[in-house]
Amino acid sequence: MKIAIINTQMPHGMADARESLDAALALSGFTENLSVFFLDDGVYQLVENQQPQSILQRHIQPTFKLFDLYDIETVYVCEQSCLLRGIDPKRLCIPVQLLQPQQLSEKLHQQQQIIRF
Amino acid sequence: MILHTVKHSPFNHKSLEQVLPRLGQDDYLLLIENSVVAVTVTHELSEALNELALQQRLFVLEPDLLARGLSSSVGNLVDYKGFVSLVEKTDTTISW
Repeated sequence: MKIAIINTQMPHGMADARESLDAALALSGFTENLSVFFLDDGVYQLVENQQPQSILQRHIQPTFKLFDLYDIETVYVCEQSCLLRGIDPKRLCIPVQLLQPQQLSEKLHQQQQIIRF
Repeated sequence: MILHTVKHSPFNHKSLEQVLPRLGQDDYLLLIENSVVAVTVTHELSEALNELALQQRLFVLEPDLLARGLSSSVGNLVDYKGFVSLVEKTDTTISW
């Protein structure tokens, strides 16, 4: 079963980022074919050296590093979403595959189940 | 004199775009939470924001920038105390 999780929300504002992360780690137990997509404002979740303590938020970014441990290797990021936001796609907190919007859409259409956060 | 606060990212919400034409001559604009990203990259609202900054009427809540691993050279950075003094200095506040 090819399952995809799409992250479209900023970190820290609401709980979306953390809920999506929990879902990814949980789902990784059920399928070998889990892909995680970051697009639109979701790319902000991968920006390095965040200091959420300054707004009393939990620091969830280190948890992304668990992706390897949970065999979540397929992480796609929309390159255009990064450039539009002045984010350097080569300086994200985890290794990712950068895709152009067209490629990203193709990858999405290969999925059987998709959950958006 | 009104303090306008905006909290949404301009990339997925129109609030910042909508508030700019409503600012009075000496009103203040304070960006908080997700809207702080508006001063971290050039986009179609940057010109208006730079204009406000030149007049010392654009403020950005620094803890929200730090939380997101971002920085900005546009607008006056304030902490929470600064936020409070902006509220004290103005007659009323509208949050968009």
